Amino acid sequence: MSPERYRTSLYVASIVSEFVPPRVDVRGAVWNYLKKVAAEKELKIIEGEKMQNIVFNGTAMGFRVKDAPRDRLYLLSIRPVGENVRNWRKNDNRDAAKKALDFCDTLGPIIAVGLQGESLVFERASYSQDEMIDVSEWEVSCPCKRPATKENLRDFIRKTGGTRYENVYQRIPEDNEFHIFTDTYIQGGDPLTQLKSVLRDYGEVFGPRSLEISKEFGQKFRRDRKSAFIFLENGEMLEKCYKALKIFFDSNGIPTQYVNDATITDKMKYPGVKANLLLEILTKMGRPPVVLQAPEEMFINDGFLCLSDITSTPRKLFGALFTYSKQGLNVKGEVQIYPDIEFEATEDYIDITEKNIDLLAKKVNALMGGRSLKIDILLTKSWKQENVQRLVKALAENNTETERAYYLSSRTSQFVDDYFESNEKSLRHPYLVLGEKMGFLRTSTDIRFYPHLFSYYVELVWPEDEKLKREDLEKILWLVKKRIYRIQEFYVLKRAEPVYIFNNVRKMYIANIKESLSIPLRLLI
Amino acid sequence: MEKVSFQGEAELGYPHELVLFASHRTMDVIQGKYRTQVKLFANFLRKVLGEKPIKIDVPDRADVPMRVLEGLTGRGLFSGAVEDFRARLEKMVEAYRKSHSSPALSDLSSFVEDGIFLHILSKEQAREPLFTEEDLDGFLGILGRGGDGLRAVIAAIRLLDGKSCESVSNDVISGLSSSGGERLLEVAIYVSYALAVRCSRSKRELLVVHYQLVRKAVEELSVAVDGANLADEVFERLFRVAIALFMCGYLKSIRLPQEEKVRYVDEIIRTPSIEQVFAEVFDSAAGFSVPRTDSRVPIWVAPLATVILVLLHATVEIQRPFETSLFGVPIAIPAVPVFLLFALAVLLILLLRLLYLKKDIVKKLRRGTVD
Repeated sequence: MSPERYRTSLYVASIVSEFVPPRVDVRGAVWNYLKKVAAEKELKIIEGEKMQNIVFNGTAMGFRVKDAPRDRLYLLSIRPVGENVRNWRKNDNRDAAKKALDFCDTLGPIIAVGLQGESLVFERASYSQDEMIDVSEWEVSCPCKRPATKENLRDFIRKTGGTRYENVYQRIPEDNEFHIFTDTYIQGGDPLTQLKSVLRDYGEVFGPRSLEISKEFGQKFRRDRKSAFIFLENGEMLEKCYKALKIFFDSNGIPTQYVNDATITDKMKYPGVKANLLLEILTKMGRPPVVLQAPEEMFINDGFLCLSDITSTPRKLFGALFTYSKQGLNVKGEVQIYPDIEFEATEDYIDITEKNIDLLAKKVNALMGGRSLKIDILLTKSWKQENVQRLVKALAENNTETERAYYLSSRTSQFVDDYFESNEKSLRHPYLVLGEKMGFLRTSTDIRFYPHLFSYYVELVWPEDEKLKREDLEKILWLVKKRIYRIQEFYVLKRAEPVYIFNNVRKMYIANIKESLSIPLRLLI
Repeated sequence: MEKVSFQGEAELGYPHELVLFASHRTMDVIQGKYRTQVKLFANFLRKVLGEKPIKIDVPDRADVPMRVLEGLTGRGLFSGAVEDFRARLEKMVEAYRKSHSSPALSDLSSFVEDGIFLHILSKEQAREPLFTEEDLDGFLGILGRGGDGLRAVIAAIRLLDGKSCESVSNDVISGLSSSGGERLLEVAIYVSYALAVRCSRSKRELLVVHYQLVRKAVEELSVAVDGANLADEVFERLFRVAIALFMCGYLKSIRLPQEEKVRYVDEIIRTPSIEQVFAEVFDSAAGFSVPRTDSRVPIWVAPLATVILVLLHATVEIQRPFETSLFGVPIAIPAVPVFLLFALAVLLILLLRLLYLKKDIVKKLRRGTVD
């Protein structure tokens, strides 16, 4: 009996001709094919300057093509689209995914498109039971507890659900100090009372103090592992004050947590929301109550270096993040942001000169304190192959040995699948390895928002003579799931932690960065 | 899992019980889901205890300390592992000398902290030191004024390597005392003992430090007796401490003369926690058990009862005639003072208890159990 397979809306074609056809030609050919099918099936066609969709059962279907010259492959991905996808709820997303898969059923298992006298034959891909990463036996440790304990992820998740997060609360140390700052609730109010009541179970609560004196208070504040500053405000004050304050406290090593007043009044009654808040605060303080251990057999390296642009009109910065995977290293992860690395970036690509790559390598070496380390590199945008080689070489000259380099993307070839239909909230994650370098990994096994519909793209960009393996995808999955401090969202965690952190930096910091910055990683989660 | 029971209750009251407990847990750990390094320490403990080491799958590209440990259990290529260890060390020293950065120093210190225990094991088991004398002197120079515990441990190892040792400086002794942190506890346990045996003039101070460290380890690890789902680091600490204790001679018998053991008790009972232990043992040894109940009467009840009985004798004495026969000879006492007789009986029991009190207390302290 053949193993169970799960439908996807991804098609893969091998390039048989000598030259890789240009993407624009392939896209044109695919669109002609889709229009032909739409006409046959009497489906509505939407065609504009930047839009080529087919409406199927009331939902617009868009498509993307991606060339993978190193593997001599072309990918065609079909996805549901719409103007208000951000507002789609769980069932809307589910319905849309199902329609996309049904649309692909209509298209058939093979799409053969004519291209300059030759044809490009796309075959429909599927997830298989044989290609799964099961994380249920990964270990969750509780380093704050004495004696330190561990259990497997399956049991931990089961107990967390079964006890309505009591299992998590029990792991939180109770000797913390929380300093509350607020302007809106300086005279008191329901959100303040509720917040104090939540925090009081886990330590002493001080304040409220005014936001106006928070910087001065922070300057003279005794640094320790048991204190955090909590800012209670409304959304407007987040934009106005907290973003400017956060960069100050982060660069001074003081953990801060912004708490929206509406979250307190509307959602704090949910145990998962409370657990998320407490775990996030404690993790920022450097005493995480719950840690997802890196599986030993996967990690022979010291850690990951993630490189990303932090671009937002009109600022253009470059960031380097180092996070450790090896147990027992007596060092902490750190993020550095450089305003003096010159590069050009589009939505998906980064171009950087050799001179700037060398400068970046020197800065990265300084970030790692001149240590002799063996690392994996994560890139959040696609680099030219020669630039990756230059980077690896420059790092090696600075005492850093690169084991492997990956490009990660949640935007590349977005396709849907029906794995979650029968495996909702599963700890088994299907993956696809296409050719030798590319792979897709279903990192989230539950759907809340539109991005959760799609798998995570992983490409091995270095070494050039190696193939992408299951072990590579396991590493990436650990980087995604190590954000277990977002326990309520565990099943929908999708992106690797370093990528997520750079997104945070982009949202929170970009306007306020004046010069090079160095920030402990834990403060940016 | 096999249930291990100890003398009295299942408490790790004595260091040798800790070694025994650790030895009982080795197979659980080797066969369970634990990290390779923990399994290797469990395996090494089996080896030093004379049991046959088990084959453990060590990843091809495992860390050098792990491969050294594997080599020490006779399973891997030891000489190759030592070469790699030294190459890694040189690379880290070089990285520090180039950068002088605190992360590079932290890396080097961590590597040396982990390596120093392996160095001791390697010297004991394979007669092959991992660090040369120049390495150790070099670290002392790099550490400068920082790293109290590590500096003291290295200085102690250098003293052990020397031809003779009369006394040990207070800096080293206090450094060893404070080095019971995360990584150096077992090393400090071993070197404080080894130095005490070697350096006669500092023996007393070093043994006090040694016993304090042993006590700390036993207290920390006694939770492992009943703990469920213990993390890997707890077991690694358990096996490392057990190996160190075994090398000091615990398990079969401590290789210390009797007078040193007594001196230990002598020193240690001055600490508040020992005072509490002593008070409990004293109450247990000096009190009187009430027949058919679990309760005990404290010793001060005996003199109080004697005084009350003497007062009763002086005021309201009851006189009773007493008749008996001894070897066929009839004895008749017309009036026996009952209260006085009871007072004398209680006084006699009290005297007997006092006569054996010292012996009973010492016995209970040594046994580590309270009735």
